[in-house]
Amino acid sequence: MLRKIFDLHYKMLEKYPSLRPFKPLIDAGDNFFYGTPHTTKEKPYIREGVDIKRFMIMVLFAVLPAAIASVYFYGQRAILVILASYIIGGLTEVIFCIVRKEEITEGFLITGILYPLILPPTIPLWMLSVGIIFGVIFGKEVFGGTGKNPFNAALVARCFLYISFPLYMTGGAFVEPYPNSIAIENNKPVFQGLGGFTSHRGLFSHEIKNGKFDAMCEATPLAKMKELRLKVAEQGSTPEDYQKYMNYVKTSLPNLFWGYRSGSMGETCAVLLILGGIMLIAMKVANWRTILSTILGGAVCSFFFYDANCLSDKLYLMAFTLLSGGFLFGAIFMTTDPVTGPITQTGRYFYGFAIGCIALLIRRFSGYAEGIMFSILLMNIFAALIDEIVIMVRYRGVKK
Amino acid sequence: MSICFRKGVRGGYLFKNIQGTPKANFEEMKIPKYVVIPFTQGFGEQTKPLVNVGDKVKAGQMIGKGDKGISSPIHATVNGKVREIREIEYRGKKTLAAIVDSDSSTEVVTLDGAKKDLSKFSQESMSRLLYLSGVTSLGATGLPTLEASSSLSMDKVKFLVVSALETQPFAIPTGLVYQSKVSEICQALQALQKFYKDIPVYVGVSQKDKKFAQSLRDSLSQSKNIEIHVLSHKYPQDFPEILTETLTGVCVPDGEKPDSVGSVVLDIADLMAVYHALSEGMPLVSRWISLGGSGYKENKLVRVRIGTPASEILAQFGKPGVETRFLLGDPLTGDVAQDLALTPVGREIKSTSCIEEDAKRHFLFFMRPGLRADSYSRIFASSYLPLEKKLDTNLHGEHRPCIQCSYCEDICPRPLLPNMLHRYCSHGMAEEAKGLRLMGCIECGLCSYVCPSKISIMRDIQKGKEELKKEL
Ligand code: SF4
Ligand code: SF4
Repeated sequence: MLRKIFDLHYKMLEKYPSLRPFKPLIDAGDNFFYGTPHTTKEKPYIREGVDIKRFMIMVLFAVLPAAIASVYFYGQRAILVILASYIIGGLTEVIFCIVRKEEITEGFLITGILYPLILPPTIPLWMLSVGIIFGVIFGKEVFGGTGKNPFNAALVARCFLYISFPLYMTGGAFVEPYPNSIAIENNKPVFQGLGGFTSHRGLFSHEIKNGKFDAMCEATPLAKMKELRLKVAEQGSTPEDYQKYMNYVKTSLPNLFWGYRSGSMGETCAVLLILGGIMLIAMKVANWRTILSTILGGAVCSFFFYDANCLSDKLYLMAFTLLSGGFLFGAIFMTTDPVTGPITQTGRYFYGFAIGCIALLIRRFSGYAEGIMFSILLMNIFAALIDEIVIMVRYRGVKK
Repeated sequence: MSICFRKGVRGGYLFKNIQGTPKANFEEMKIPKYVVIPFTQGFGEQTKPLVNVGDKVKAGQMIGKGDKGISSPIHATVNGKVREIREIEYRGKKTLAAIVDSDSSTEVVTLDGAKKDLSKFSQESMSRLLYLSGVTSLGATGLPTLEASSSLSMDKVKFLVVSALETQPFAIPTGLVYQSKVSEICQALQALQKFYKDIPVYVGVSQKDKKFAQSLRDSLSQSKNIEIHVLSHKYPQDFPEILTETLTGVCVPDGEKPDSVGSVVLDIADLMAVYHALSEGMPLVSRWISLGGSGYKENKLVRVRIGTPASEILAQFGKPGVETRFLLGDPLTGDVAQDLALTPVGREIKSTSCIEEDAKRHFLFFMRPGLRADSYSRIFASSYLPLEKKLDTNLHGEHRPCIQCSYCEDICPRPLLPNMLHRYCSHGMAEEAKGLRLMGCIECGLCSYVCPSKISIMRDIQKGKEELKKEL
């Protein structure tokens, strides 16, 4: 049945040469549904079963729980946002491939879902589209498509929005997730009913600030913590201030873990992210070296950067920094994008560690509340340099 | 400079549960109608034919002998008449070959001077017998004797390394095959050790064959300087370079064979040939080969006359009605046979593989659980279930640019970066790649096997190597 449709298309291609440019599209569909007819031509004459499609689909499966959680926490709008990202970004990619007469590759399957998950839930659809078009073009296509891009396309897109439309990307753009805080205050369970699955608030509107979006704006835990910490650091701060600061850190830990907090759509539910990460590592799709070293880098730096009165407070702070913001999402799904990282396994330790450190540096010492995005983009630039150094050291004795 | 891993191969890959792995069933193959005997077999250069078209030959009669360069004699392997002497393609190279029609009698002419007691040989008589029987062309770089049979001269031999393990996907545990031959193996070992003036001998046995290792140890307990090590069963642990490094701890320089460090590498089948040559004067006329892969009716070991063409083997053992691809050797390093009727099983061939040709398009292949797919990653359900995995010629995916997953780096048995080498070599920058130890690649084929982007990394590396050699 499906086979017939594709064959029909191929026949049409032969009949009408003017349709030629659309061949990549049909090829891609054909290859998607049917495996390859190619057989091995060179030694070794056997090849193992994994291909890039499978590889990428596994990342998709790993991030899917987080995507579903985003619907739970932020309503059906999340579905719409993800769909929009796929459609607009996919179209951009397809157009590029048709113009350049190249095969359409699978890379966008991942970018298309990672990108909406790192945006605030209130992101207007037009802005999302602008972002993804920019990201695909300048993050990937200008460099030659998947496999050759030095930057993570999803992060480029987000960074572009972050700088162009800061109002929509910070502070007020973050809203409180379902189920709302009243349930929590009344000591009802955090997970209650269907949450956002049944809500379609603000489906197409971006007028959230004018009250159409009926959730309350809520600062992200990181922003709140930063504010409290600054108060502690100020001159003339009282022990009460410190107490308040630590209290906030301590009480918000379970919420951070289960995902009940404001933040970007997909990055809030730490437990699902960790599960996804474990799945990727178990399948050898993501490189455990990057993930672990990123987390280690973050942990070490948070230990030294954040002052506290006693060790247990320090450990609380460390857990808070690792669970909050986009740190876990970045560590698990963004740093492990193999294309934009270093080639060498040794390089990956340094790469990850540096990402963790720089993210914490930005969080602690700059005006931004969150730093993981900038730190990953920054290290994307240095990935090649890290490789260069690793290779230089490893092959130092070799005669040219 | 580089570090050698005494415990076993760096990286590597353990092939488990592969469909078509031979069972320990043995069968003697009938004398074929004709044999194709290449004049280049084993280690060495092409020998000069001593027979003409139309001559009658006997099995075991010498029909080729080198006059210059390194080589060992070639023998006729059936009784009959020389039909033709022509050029054929054998293991990717052109060589002269004699085609001999057989009269299906089984007698073999043996050599004089054989002694039942292997310890009674003098060095000269042993050297002569080994050379005349053709055994000296076996092993990675030939067996050094007083004649010009190996790139190594006799006084430069420092170690004898014996591989009692085979790690390719269709490998049958060596111990299973040779358990009953332990005493012969030990005699041959001791004779060779004496022959080379009491050099140290290292035997590497697979971890799957602990019992075999124990029986070897028991019967060699009197001998000095023979070490038996149990090694991991990861492919390519049995490659001569890797085995030498693992067992002796001496590094083989990049791009060199183990003879550069004075190591002679043999496997158990070669030792058995040595034994038969010395004790019975038996020239190399037949050998055991394993039939691996789902293209055979039954996977087992058969004894064939050397030079039996692939077409005869397939006619007798192949699965009828299935399109298959015949490989001379194991599936990772084996060469594909162009013309089955003219592709012989030479004396250095240990195994043949026959894998199914699979150009079918599998509907939604990448979404399937993958119960039968083998993979380095643990993406498929097959990694968690004890099912037999299938190897075929399908590419299992489209060509894509490298995504830097580093599977190739993890799996490479040498400390190389196959993805970088591929990058340089495919752009004609072999000079750059040389700085990354391009010549250190031992062409095991694992990197191409595991690459999810289906890049033929090994082909690019080979091209780069050729480019470098041309420049020299
Ligand atoms: S296995 Fe293939 S895709 Fe992965 S790093 Fe090596 S060459 Fe690149
Ligand atoms: S073929 Fe060469 S580069 Fe590839 S895995 Fe084997 S040794 Fe390494």
